[in-house]
Amino acid sequence: MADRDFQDGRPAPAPGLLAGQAGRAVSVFGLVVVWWAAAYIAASPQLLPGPIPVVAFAWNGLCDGTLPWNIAITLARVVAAFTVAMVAGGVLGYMAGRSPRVDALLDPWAVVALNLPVLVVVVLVYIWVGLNDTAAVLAVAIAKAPTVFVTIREGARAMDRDFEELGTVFRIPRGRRLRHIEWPQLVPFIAAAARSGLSITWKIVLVVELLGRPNGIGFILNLYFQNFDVAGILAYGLTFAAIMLVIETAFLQPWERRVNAWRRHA
Amino acid sequence: MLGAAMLKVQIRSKTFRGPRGLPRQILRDVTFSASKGEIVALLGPSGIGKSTILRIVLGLERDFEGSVSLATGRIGVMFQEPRLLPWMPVEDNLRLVQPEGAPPPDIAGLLDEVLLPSVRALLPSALSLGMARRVALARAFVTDPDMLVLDEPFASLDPNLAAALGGRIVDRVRRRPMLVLLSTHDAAQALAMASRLLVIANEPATLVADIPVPQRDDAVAIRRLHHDLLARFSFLGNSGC
Repeated sequence: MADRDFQDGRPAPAPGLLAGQAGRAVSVFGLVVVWWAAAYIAASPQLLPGPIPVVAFAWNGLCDGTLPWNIAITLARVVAAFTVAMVAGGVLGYMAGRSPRVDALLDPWAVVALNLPVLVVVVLVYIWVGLNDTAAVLAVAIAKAPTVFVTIREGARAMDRDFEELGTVFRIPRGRRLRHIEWPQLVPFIAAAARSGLSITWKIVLVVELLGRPNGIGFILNLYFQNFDVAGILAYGLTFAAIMLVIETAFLQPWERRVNAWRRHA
Repeated sequence: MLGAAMLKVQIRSKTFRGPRGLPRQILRDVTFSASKGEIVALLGPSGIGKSTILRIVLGLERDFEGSVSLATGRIGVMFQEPRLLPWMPVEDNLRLVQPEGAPPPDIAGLLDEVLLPSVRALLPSALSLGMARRVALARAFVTDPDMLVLDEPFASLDPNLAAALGGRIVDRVRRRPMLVLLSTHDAAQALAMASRLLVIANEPATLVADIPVPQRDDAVAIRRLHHDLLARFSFLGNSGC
């Protein structure tokens, strides 16, 4: 059974989607205007440079290769940590949601992990594993996995028992049940975990890089902080945030809309 | 022709806990057996516990006193609610229950059988409740079952359609012997299809009568049995027949 779209092979656009995009464009433009006005009023390029010096800084970084290089390194760490957190948190969350016994075993761990400050996790992992990329990815994954665990556990608990019984009486094979009965019910929870997960993961990665890596956006931000170079901080910070925004709007949101297309017809 | 019993049910007691945790016995002494080729109707008023008996037979309720013995074989089920997966079209809902290694089901033929020839590409949300229940009946046929379990199969259908579908099920059993176990509160519907009636009544519900149904072409005998049932069991009087 292939995954299906239900209108001409594509999910139909939600009503008012174009109007929404125009609204966003106006909002972003407004932000730039406010920034420019604030920089003009501050009249201190060192304290708050305007949009043009920041774009010029980013352009220079692009031309000499330092900006794409550091973005690529940070992105690689984000992808690795995000994948580990989603897989580990997702699998354990699913098991806990399906089995009260597994939940009883894992819930106290989740509560502790959720309440442990990220900084403590990062510092401890660096001490125990060493100042390397494995530790960086591991620290971010450990910090993020508990929230994925809790979200997916709720999804597994919320699955419809009627459909579970359907699988039981028709003796539907486990793999088919997982793919066609359970997965579609879990997808909204996975999408929610992924969206919040991505935005939190990249912010934690910057902290990890700031504390113990010799490259990446977090390291660069620390460097420019030492030099009190606000243009550099804004150029790197905003460029990376823009890339993460593109990933979310170009990949995560369309995927979420596609897998939930049937709900608009329900 | 009937063989050895395919299904043996002995429910001594089934108790549910109420909202305050107080136990309430809903079934007591329901014992019967049935064989391939039989169409057995559990006949009783709504809410008496017929669906619970079917759930016990299907292994969905295990917390009861007694035993159920079921010969190995394929099972087809139509629940009271259609239970169609809302994210997949009708044809994929049918394919979902296809037994492993079995040839692909004849989707068009199955939908024709339930008098719904043109819905295969629709999502369940586009179907009325009656249509969705007929798709659920077609899905129960996909497994080519040895035992077909139908919980109030014609509850939301008009009488003519219900009679037509009942006829299709009877034809199926003639073509390929299987045990059909259905629940209904409608005596006329039960008599139109079943070869045997198990009347469930009282509180807690118990099996009060096990009645063979005369041959379907003996209209006089069927009518007489119908009158007898209405006279003996007052709860059947408002079944609209």
